Amino acid sequence: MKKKDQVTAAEEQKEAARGKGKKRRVREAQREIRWDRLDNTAHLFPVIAGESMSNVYRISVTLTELVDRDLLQQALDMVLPKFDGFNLRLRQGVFWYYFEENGKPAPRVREESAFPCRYIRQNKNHSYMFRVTYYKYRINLEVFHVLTDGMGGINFLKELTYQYLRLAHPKLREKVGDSLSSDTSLNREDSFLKNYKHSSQKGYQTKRAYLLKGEKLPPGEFGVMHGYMKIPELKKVCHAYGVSINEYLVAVYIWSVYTECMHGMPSERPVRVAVPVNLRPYFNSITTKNFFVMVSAEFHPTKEIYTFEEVLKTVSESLRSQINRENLEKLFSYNVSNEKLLAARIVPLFLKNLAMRYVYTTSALANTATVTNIGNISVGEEYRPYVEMFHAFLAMSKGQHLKGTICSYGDTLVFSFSYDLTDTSVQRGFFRKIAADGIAVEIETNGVNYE
Amino acid sequence: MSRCKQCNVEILDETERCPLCHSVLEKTVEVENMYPNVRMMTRRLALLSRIYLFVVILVEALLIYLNVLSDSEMFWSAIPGLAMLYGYLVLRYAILGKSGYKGKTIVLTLIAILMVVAIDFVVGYRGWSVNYALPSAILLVDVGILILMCINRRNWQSYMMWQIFMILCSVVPLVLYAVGIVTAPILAVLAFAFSAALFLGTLIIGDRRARTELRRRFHVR
Repeated sequence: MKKKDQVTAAEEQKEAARGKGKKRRVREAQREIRWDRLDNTAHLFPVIAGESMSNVYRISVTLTELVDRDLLQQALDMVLPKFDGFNLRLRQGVFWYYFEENGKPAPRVREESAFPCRYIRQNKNHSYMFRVTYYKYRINLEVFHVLTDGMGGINFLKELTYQYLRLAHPKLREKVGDSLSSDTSLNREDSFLKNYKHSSQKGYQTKRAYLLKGEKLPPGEFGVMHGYMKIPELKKVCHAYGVSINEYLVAVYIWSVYTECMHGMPSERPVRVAVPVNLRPYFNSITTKNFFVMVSAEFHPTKEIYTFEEVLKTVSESLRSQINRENLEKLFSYNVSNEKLLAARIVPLFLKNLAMRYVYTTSALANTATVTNIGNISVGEEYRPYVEMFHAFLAMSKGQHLKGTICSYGDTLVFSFSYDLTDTSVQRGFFRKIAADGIAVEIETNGVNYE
Repeated sequence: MSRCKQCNVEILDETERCPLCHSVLEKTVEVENMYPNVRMMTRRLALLSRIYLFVVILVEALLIYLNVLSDSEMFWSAIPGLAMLYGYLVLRYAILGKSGYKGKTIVLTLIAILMVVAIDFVVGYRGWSVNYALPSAILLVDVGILILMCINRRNWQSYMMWQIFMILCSVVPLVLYAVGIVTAPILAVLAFAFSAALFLGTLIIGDRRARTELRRRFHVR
């Protein structure tokens, strides 16, 4: 009799829970759906993205312990609803793309079983525009660039990792609780719109650059090569040259292209490396939408034989002349002014897409490569013992078959090459030059160059 | 971990040769690979679709041969040919294809309509394809939208753009009637009325949520 009572009580409870769930769903169905406009740079990404050019980047964190899938899924389920900037799906309007609150369960966490940075389809993956995978000690976050740039990605990955560690180590959870870190921004303002000045002057390069060519890896394959260096050693070398680490690494990249591909000969076309600049510090913004512009480091060999010092000087001068508030403002103001033109706004989306694709293809070949610097990533004091390293890299794009990403954690800097060419001579020249300058280099790859 | 003497760098992969210069490495410490080995696997379904295509071509060749032998005035072998081609398209595009289900529905319906028109011509044109088949297809898609809205209750409003598209589609048979291609307009009118009613119903019953959806979809910034 007692048992029977218990069973009915349990059933009643279940029934009540079911009723509550239903009520919640009904309430949700009546609530307004949150929606948002894309930022200025994001307009381009859905137009040009596809299997061959995914516009996806990866940021990953390596822990000191093996990753548990169930805990990672649980952490993602907990963190995602708090991030308005990730809990989104992409929709197509008549005049513009836009974001709409997603609301579906978080995407499934999977063990890494494919090459990195694959295209993220709008209608797959629970319509989310990012994916989370893991492999051994590493958690990978792959983000479609339309959502946010590297800063926003790091923000999210850090919180996901914190939550994961709190679940894996209940003591840590007791100590710090389950709320987001106070350093994390959830701001979603469009800082391009907020800071632009009316302008009609085009600021970026469209003349063709020297492009890397050669035999490609088999379709779908993607090469990754990390080079680890110690920051104190790097600093010493850069100090001796009188340049920043960023300038030095970009210059070594260009030097490697100059010596390995151009064989130190004069060329009709310059080597031009696009360098994305995070605009937040210049405009006092903490947005988690995209907020960066591209400047370019250019080296044009017109005579026989340049020394590395000459290349470095050209590169650092070229970067320094461009990275200042006035110039950066000019660069994005042109794009924003175009977006604000009423005549452009009322053009139907499919026509806009055609125009954007045309402009993109003509300007895409203006850069040999992209070298981006994510900067030094730090984690909260409590989590430091569990975190070993961060990595980041970008997917290929039109004309650019070898990109570089700089990222550092603690006193280790990692320069990650991502590529789809079989020949690795630029990587070889790059790391050999750094080693020759007296910096110890350790290489790790994803194995596409073996066999 | 191993060392490449040529490049003067350490290699952290489990390998015997340098990924940079392919010279043999000097082994120092045991390491494990940090990336999985993920070469692409061939997809079985893609193979199946190629086998289907081959068989279809053989069967169709045989049918055309029989058609010629039978001395028939009608080119009847085109009908099973079109049906088999449609089967192939469904396999390649709807099952193996990666585009969204809305795109798949629209493209496959459009192809089906064109094929029905073609069959009408094969059996001596009598106009039933445009009079009945075309508006029926529109009605079918409309009913499909209604069912999807019931299934995906959380996002019913997201089908409104599709409803507008269907209104535009249902204008086509009316235009065909105006130029004299469609001769029996009953189903055409019905298709238009149903499409319009579906949209209006969603707009009126859906109220604020439906209006916001339209505002989102038509925002000019």
